[in-house]
Amino acid sequence: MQRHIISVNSITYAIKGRDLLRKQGFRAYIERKTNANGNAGCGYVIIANGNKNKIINALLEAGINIVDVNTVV
Amino acid sequence: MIYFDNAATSGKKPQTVINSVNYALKNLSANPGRSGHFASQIAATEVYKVRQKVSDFFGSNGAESVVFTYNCTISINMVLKGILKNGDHIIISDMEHNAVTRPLNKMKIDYTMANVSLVDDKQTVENFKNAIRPNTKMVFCTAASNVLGKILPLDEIGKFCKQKGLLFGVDAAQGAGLIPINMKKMNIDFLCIAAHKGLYCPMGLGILIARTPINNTIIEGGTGTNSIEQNQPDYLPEKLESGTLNLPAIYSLKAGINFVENKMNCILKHENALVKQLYDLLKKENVIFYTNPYNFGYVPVICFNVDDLQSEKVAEFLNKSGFALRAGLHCAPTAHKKIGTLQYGAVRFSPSIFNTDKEVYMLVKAIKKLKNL
Repeated sequence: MQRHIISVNSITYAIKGRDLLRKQGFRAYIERKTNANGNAGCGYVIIANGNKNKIINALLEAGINIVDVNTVV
Repeated sequence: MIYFDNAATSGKKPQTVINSVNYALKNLSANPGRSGHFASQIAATEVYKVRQKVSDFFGSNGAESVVFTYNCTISINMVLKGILKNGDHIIISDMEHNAVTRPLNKMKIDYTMANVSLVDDKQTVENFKNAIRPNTKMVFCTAASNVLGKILPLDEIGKFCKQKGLLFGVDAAQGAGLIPINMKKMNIDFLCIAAHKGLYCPMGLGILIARTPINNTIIEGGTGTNSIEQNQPDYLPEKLESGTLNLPAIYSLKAGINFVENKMNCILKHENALVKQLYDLLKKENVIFYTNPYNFGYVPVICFNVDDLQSEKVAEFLNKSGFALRAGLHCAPTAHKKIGTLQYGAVRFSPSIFNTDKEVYMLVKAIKKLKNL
């Protein structure tokens, strides 16, 4: 199953996104951002498993601003 | 000491609020939104849950619209200074707190004070409507006066603000927790709240709920995210929330809202009954009251004076007799000007759900004693 590392603006949006995805049946949790795109720390990512489009659409529909998405298999 | 100064801060807190503060101090002592470890994430999740609770309770757009500040005054400053600029005009009521008028004077913003009728809400709304100018950007008013207790017709004011395309901000320091406030239904853009009054939380926590973006910030600093960026983030709540949050107070806010949520009517009824009791008993003694609590639309706040005594002298006597009441101008000189008490102020009686009719009888007895000195 694909694993998506979704970078968001803030801890508030990370928690909102995590809770939303869990309610929709996705496995999701939060981690501190680790040196993504050369920007050291100070950010949060939602890590979620499942269909990328469904996950992204769910977050965007809830008004969550996605900074970037990295998918690992 | 019998405490009747709940308009300044709720003197007695529900045990559930006290327990929540204790729990947070013992178990949530990690900085929310500042670190990646589990303790910080748990703390951040608890803060998020409270944001959601606040949003639901006041009918806002969601957790991210809820900003935690230090007090209601900061929240009001954030709105006025974040929205208004030179050349704008704003309409306020003639009962506003200095938290509203002082920032406007400092900013040199042109404002009109609409007269609030103490008996006719329709007339109040007309007075607000008549104050509109071509450059009016916003209406900002108290939900209920901290001096006179008069509740403003927020529904109707919000309606015309929407019709005229004006922003609508409300200072709910005295109303939150006592009267139902639904931002969506009342078309309120910005709601400013003191958590330590009608929501029974500790001091040091204010709330700003923003359903509309606020352009400028008055405080900038660390928000826990994107630290390399040297400009303030442009999204709520972090845009307006630099620095560490008051987590124990925030955590207790959930208990405070739970306390009032299901018995708001009972709280208002009980406290207004105590105000009426005081009014009835002291009217017979020729004590001067400035409002009639039997009129429609008042929160439990009433001001009085005893004979020609200065209000501070009366409060001092009562303090020495074991009663806590606040005299003077209550940081709202415009409201005192309205009732003619600008020179000597008035004594304010503001009970809480924890006060009893026996305590009111004891206060009346003390005031009778003062009159006979």
